[in-house]
Amino acid sequence: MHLQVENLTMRFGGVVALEDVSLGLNQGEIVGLIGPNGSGKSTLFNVVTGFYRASSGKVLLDVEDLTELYPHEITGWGLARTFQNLNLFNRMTALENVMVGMHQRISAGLLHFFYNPRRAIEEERNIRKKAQEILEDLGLERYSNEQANNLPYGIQKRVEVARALASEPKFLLLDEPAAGLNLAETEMLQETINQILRKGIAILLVEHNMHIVMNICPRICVLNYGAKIAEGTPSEINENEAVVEAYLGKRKR
Amino acid sequence: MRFSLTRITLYGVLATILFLLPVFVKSVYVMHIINMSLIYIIVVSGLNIIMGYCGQFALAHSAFYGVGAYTSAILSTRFGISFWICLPAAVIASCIAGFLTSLPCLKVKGHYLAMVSLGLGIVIHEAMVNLENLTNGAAGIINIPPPFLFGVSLDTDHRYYPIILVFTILSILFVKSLLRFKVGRAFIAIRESYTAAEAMGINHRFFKVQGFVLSASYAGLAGSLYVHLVKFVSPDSFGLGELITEFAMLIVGGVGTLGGPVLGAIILSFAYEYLRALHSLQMITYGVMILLFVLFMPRGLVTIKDWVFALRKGAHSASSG
Repeated sequence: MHLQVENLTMRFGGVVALEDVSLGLNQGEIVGLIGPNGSGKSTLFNVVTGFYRASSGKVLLDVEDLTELYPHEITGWGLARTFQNLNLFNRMTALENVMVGMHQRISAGLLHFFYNPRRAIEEERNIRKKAQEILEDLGLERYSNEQANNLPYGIQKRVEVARALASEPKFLLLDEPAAGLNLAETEMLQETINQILRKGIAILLVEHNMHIVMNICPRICVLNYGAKIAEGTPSEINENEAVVEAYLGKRKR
Repeated sequence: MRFSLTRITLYGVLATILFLLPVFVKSVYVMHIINMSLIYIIVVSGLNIIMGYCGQFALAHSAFYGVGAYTSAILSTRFGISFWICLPAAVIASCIAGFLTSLPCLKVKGHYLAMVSLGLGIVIHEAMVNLENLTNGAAGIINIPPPFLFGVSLDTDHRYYPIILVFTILSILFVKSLLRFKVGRAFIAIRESYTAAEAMGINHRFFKVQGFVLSASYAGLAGSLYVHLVKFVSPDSFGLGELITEFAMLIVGGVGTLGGPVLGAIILSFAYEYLRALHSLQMITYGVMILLFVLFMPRGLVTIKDWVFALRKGAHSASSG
């Protein structure tokens, strides 16, 4: 499996949010996506997951073209995401949030109720058990019956990751998972990310915390003003002049 | 689902009391109010599906109620069709109305959804007034036959009550079980965050349509039960005032809760009758009630239950600690 973004351009009226960006993600790999504020990272996420329609360019999963699909269809192709600002179902419990994540794994719809209730109940029991396991995997089992908006911020962030994992993705797109986390929570997050990678799920990580990105991403891609300005290993990125300039500005001569 | 013995006994006793209610209630007037409360429980439970669970601010509900009522009225008076066929026909007609209404409503959100659905509701209401060949216009349809069950005419409130009660209980149970499964969760997910719902693979258009249709089917069921109870139908019963009543019931009871429609429907049905003396002040009283509830008890009367729990918990921990 290979996720490929090809020559992607996204315009909002006259504003070019992404310009001719190409980026590949192999199965089981983690790629860091960094760039100053407003450089188009979240836009890229939204185009890949179908929330925005690209002005030109393509999003390919192997040979399959995902560019024109709706977000809910893209989930079916094995892409899952988290949101930059928390986007949990607040008035549902952590467990129910994860169960919603498994939506596409459930076949019983409205009418199954009438002609095959037993199967619907059976299926529901399995889903509940699986959701419980996913929470356990991330060490969240004791929060499973808490309402989402009553949970601490750091826990909510991890519940969101758990919910994304529930759809059994092959590619996980994390949008600033460490934003607002304290040191202990950040370490926990790194552990979680490693755990996900061990399962063979590829991650595209947008993150402002350079420490994390440099630590866990063998390959990093840098955006600035909607264009890709560099791609390489952490040390290459560290020494790349264009990147330093984008973040810190030009040295005075 | 697990049931303890005490729970089964509790429900058993409750059901027995409910079914034996006509034995204890002698007044025809009170029995009629009770029947109307039950019918409103169904109507408002339907409104609760689309507003409370799906989070769609849809204002065509009283029109769907009317579609059900008129379908049943026309079929039984014109064609002499039995109540037991009129009822499902009314439900289907309302479902179709709900489906058609949902299509333009998918394009809009929030205030615009409210306006579009209100507009469509008014169109349906105008159709009731103006399609005189079919609906007999503003004069309405009279002499709607009561239902028959095993050859017995259910022509009084006391006799009709058990049938209405059964449908009411089934309606509530259906919502209750719906919430435990995928469809109910998808509804709530759409209400809570439709971007996140989409990212989780929920086709929000498809589920909104389901929400509309399901909600309309409840209104249709109630409409059919209603016309065979009062034996008369006119467009007046399904206008804006009706919509406000349904809204008031939902808000006073508790939006997005299972018990809310039940509480709201019963309390306001009785309040409505006993406020009749106020004439034109009736609607104003309703308005003030909604206002007060939104301000001071936005989650409705069902929250009282939480207070009682909290009090008991507090007393408990105080005595044990």
